[in-house]
Amino acid sequence: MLKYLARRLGFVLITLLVSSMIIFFSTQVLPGDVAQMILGRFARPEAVEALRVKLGLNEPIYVQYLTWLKNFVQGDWGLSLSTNNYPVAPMVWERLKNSFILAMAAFVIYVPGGILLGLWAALRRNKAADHIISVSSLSLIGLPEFVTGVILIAIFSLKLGWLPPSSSISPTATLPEILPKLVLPAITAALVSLAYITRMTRASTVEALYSDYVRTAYLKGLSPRQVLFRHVLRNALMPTVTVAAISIGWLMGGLVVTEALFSYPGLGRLLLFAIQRRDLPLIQATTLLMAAIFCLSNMLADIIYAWLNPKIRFQ
Amino acid sequence: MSSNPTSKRSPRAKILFKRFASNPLAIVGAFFFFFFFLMALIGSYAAPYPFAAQVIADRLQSPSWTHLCGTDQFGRDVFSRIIVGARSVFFLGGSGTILAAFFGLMLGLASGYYGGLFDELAMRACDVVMSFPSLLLALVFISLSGPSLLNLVMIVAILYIPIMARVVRGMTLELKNMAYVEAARIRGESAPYIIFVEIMPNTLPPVFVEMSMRFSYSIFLVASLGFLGLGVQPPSPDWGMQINEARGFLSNAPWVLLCPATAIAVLVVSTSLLSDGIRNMLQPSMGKR
Repeated sequence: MLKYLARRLGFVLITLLVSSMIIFFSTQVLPGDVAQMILGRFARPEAVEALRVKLGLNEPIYVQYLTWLKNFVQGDWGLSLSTNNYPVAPMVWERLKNSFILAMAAFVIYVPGGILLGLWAALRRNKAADHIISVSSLSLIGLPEFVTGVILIAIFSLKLGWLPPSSSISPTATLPEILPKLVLPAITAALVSLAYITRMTRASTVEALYSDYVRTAYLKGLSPRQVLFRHVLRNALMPTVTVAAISIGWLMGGLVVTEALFSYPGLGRLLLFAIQRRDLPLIQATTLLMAAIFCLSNMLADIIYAWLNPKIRFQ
Repeated sequence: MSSNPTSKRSPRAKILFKRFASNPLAIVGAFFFFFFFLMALIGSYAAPYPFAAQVIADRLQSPSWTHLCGTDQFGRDVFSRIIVGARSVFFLGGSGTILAAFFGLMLGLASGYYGGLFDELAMRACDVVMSFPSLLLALVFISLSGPSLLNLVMIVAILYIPIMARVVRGMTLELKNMAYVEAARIRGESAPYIIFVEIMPNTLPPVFVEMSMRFSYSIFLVASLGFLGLGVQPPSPDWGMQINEARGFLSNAPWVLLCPATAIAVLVVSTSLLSDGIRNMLQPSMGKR
């Protein structure tokens, strides 16, 4: 198991290293000089040159990359270009905290929800409930978050007036103030993953129900409840656990759209802000952080799977 | 049908068609899909009003017989903008998917047939692309290269090439050890002949299934980019952009948002029903139970 862990961790580190190179070098090919961008178009050439030396822009590109990487690992993520040279790191961590809260709220909705719906559909397979669940989950997988979000806002904010349509929160807001504003964005961000988990659980449960060991369990006289909990669920939920862990990574893409729709101050909206203003240090930091979260959630998924499934572990 | 001797359809096509037609959801999906496809082709002629015509006096009118989906904040007819907007969805998603299928097919065949270092490198590169959420990759790519039409098509293609290549490579690995391929090798056929004539035809059904699925995801991607302001640029109408622009009028003119949202929803749902139907038609063993 330890050997497996070490190999997975090594793979994650290599992927992150490659991503950091891609992120760094692709932001370098952008037209325009960073020093010129910071000082503005009418800066004196001497001032621009002085800043170039100070920022290390005259060094060879690989030295710049190594310096950037060293600073990044040490937590110095540079200064944001678009917000009066405000340091990037505290800004990103603040937004990450907000995104984390939203992601967790979505997670506690879609994981139990998806498992229950998937099980229900599998146990009632080819009946009305199964068809309804299967078709609506198939549809939900493809619906962009802003479409479902707009429909939810129209129903729950405009028609019924139960929940606020916008979720902009101040940094000093307390949890009871935030909570009602979290409901709609959390449901919106949860729906795609809810649909995935439902379909995954249904498929693997149906497979388990048709297996020989389940037939044997019935034949030796166990009650349907015992068969379900002792034999079906154990095997059927294994892929679901993996999907649940991977889905933390998927959430990140969905959060960009959800946060933009609800004006929620999270990491996704920060990335969008940085992209619109071409704020390179901010783009680099947010994308690399998202890549790291994504790789780690994938690794977590693999580890959980290996832990549950000895076949993989001892390969 | 079977008594008609002039029917040109081969038995296999007939079986496939019957299998597809026995799935009512797939037919509903196909109907709406082709409706929007038609709109993408002839939308600018079929639309009741020019999509960019602004009539300020008629701004934010609710749906009526003159304006089926009402008018937006500039007095433009929302229905016409939806109809013309189908074009960008089909163009971006469609050409991106087709390019991805072509390059994915080539890469997958080469990778699976030749194996070795090339295979290893190609698959690791695919892993890196596939290990990130597609919307995130698209955002970064577009932010670096700018939202031109060509860049949008390219990003859809780049995102889907690895997935196509994986599917084709898996099939190729299995097929290249089959007896009939072995026979072709023994009778001295060249590698390109074996790859394109013996192996490729059998990889096509899963490629078609994957294409139909990728297309439905590409609607998701293109619409989301449009919503974030990084898709097709104005004045071309785009569903995602329409929704983004209309957010400020949600309380007094919800139709400006809800109509394009419905269009996206209907197209996405019908495309996934259609692709499900295609999968059951081409790979019946996978959709059973």
